[in-house]
Amino acid sequence: MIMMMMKTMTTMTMIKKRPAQNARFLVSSLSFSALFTMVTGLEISNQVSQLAEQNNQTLLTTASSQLPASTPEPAVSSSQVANTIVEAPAPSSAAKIDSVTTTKKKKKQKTTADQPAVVVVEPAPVSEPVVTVVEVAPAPAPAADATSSAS
Amino acid sequence: MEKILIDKFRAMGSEFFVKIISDDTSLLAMVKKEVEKLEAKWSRFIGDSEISLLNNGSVMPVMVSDETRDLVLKMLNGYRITKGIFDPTVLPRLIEQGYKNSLSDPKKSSQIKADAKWPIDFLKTEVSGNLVFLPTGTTLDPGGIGKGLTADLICTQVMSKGALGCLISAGGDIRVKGAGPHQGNWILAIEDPIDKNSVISQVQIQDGAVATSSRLKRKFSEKSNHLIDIRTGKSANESVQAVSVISSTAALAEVLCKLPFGTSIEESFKIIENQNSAALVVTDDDLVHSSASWKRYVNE
Repeated sequence: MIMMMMKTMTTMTMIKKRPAQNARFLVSSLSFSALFTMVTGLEISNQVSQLAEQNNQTLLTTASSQLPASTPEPAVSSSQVANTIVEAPAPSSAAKIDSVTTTKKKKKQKTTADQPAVVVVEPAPVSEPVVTVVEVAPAPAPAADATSSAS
Repeated sequence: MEKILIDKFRAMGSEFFVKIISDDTSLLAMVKKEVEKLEAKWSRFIGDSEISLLNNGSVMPVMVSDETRDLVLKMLNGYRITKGIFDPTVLPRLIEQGYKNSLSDPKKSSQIKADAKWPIDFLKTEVSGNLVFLPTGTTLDPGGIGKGLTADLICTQVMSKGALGCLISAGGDIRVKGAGPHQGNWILAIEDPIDKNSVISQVQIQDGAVATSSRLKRKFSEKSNHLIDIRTGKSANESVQAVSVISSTAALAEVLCKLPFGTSIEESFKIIENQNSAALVVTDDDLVHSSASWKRYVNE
């Protein structure tokens, strides 16, 4: 809430510097300030009564002394912005020539499909339908068409 | 109705495996015939092949066929991009290491001229139209790049005849084109260099190639094999057991396969990835090293 009040004060300051450009902005920010003051009034009044007992100061002075010194938001330099940007990872590329993958040699049995696939289709005999429940097994890896080897 | 046509036969000292998706069974015979034609042009064990004429001819330049001109140009390109680690002129050293005779027919042997030497500044080779001028003392060994280019050329021919898909494996250098039988893709396994009944990886490719080189195959003695380390001029014996490369063509994959046998794995992977290719290297300590792009193709 204190930050919101500070921003309102900052806004007021900005309007003061650029009066010609901010007529509409001035109306909306002043309305906001009034609303803000009503909302925070209760909170501040408690603090004020404590302080009034101590040093007998006015509402505005006490309220402003409760606020931390207005410090402008630190400006973010271009170098700081640059340091916070996260570079997207380079897309993986098949031509990433520095990449070598090394694994332990694993052997599999060689299978080669070399039977001619001449298919002869005969009409199936008519019979009563049979419902069969079959467990779905993982499809076997297809046999290789040929094997590359040193000659 | 489309069928998967399959054939196996031996040529170029290796096993060929063919898989074509087509109902035109004459394509299998066409493939075998084209492989034999290319072997007749490129084998260093055939005295009147174009490669033998280049290696032993006393007159330069030599007029060659379109296919041989393309082979020499691809050799030059491979030599350039690998900074000489892929070197098709190491035949004198290969013969010294024990690879003089054909493995499939030991009665056939390579003959090279007396002034054959290595190293050679291969980049001084000139190709003008179908004329090839080799620097003095140069001898060429098509070897793996010849098989890779064979797979590339024949795959293209098969597809031009209307096939839906084609796979040609030339001694383990595989080229695939067109629609494969697995939802348009081809699934290719990478053989374990120690155990040929096991695989260490499986990849999925639609149009491209995989080639594999290993110092454990084609051994002539405990320390001699067919892969020459250009740093020493002797058989490769460092910790790399086998290299597999995925690339756009089998010829390029074969070239790039040689890199880890002549430089560090890290340096090899840089060059391979710069060629839009991917690599898998198996080392003696049972570790598998893969380049960044390899996982894009893995099907496991």
